[in-house]
Amino acid sequence: MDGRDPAEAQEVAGGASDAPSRDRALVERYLRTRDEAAFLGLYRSHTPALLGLASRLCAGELSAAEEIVQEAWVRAAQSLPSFRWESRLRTWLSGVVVNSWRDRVRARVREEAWERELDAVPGEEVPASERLDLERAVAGLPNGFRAVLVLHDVEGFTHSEIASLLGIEAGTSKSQLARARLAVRRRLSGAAAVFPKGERSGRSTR
Amino acid sequence: MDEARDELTAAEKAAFASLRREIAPDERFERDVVEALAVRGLVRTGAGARIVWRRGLTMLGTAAALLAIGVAIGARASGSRPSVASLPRYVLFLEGTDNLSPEEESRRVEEYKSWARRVAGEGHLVSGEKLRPEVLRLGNSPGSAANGGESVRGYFVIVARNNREALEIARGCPHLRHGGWIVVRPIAPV
Repeated sequence: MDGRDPAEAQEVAGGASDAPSRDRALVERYLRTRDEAAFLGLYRSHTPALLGLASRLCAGELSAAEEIVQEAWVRAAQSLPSFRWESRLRTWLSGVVVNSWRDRVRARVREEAWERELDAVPGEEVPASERLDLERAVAGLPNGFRAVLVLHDVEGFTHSEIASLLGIEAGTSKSQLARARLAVRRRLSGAAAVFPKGERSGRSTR
Repeated sequence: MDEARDELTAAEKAAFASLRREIAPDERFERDVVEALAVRGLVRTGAGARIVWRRGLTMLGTAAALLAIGVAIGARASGSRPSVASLPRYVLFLEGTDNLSPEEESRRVEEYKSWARRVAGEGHLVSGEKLRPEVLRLGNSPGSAANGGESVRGYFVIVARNNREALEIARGCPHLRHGGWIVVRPIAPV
């Protein structure tokens, strides 16, 4: 395993014998019959991971994550016939989730504000009294930063994949990631360290 | 920003990777998703058993069909909220309630309007109108005269994620408090 494909890692860890070919068989059956059982086969094997991803993107808001995943399944069901198996199904589905999330954020912040949303700089000030853990530090990032960090560092997408998912340049994805990591480190320094011990010394921010 | 500084330590990598998680969906969510697909014709559910509430709603022949067509055209003309465009639409037929005095009538209208504004504010309302009592008919109605559409007093078109949400929205309509009833019909995707 190459360490870059979280879906594979999980499937291997989970002991599923041959997940990709199982996916393929289910998708073929589903597309042929639009049969509920075939759909549920796909749904049940992928939804937990998709919900996890969506909830990270939504800063932990489960009801928003559910709406996004539901929308994603509708879109996926519509566009599965054109899926060419050039990536793994899980990766493709994750992309559909990211798109649904992005459209939802866009609908909320108005189109013109999306660029700004992606560009918003995380606040410098950290309430010192507040003990932030890593999870909350990530959740507290502005949308664009959180998305890039979650997709890259948590989910294992590459910058070029992220760029096409979010509609930005790969270079932007890289610099967003750097700034997001910086912001997370800044939020964690001062508060009790949650990165494993010793690893943060000398690495905290200027 | 310089690359080396930017790299994560192994421990940081592990810490971020540990944020990856799975969330097991509950049965309700599974039903919602299947229903959302079924409403759009993307999945065939076992014998249509999921859309239980549709049974027993034998009603409104020609009048309902005409209304629905009119409504569909209206909605297409009026609406392009992106988040909402892809959601299933429903018609709420408001039926029943007695004839009212003019001032009671206008009080009701205000009440319905304020409900409609609230639903619109939540992004669910597509359109809605009060109907006059006349029923104009064309063609042969096979059903009894009692089922000819006279009971429909008005309609709303809403968007909702699924039947459950559509019913939830309809349940808030003041019509029910005043002794009327509401028939909720999903609009077929074309």
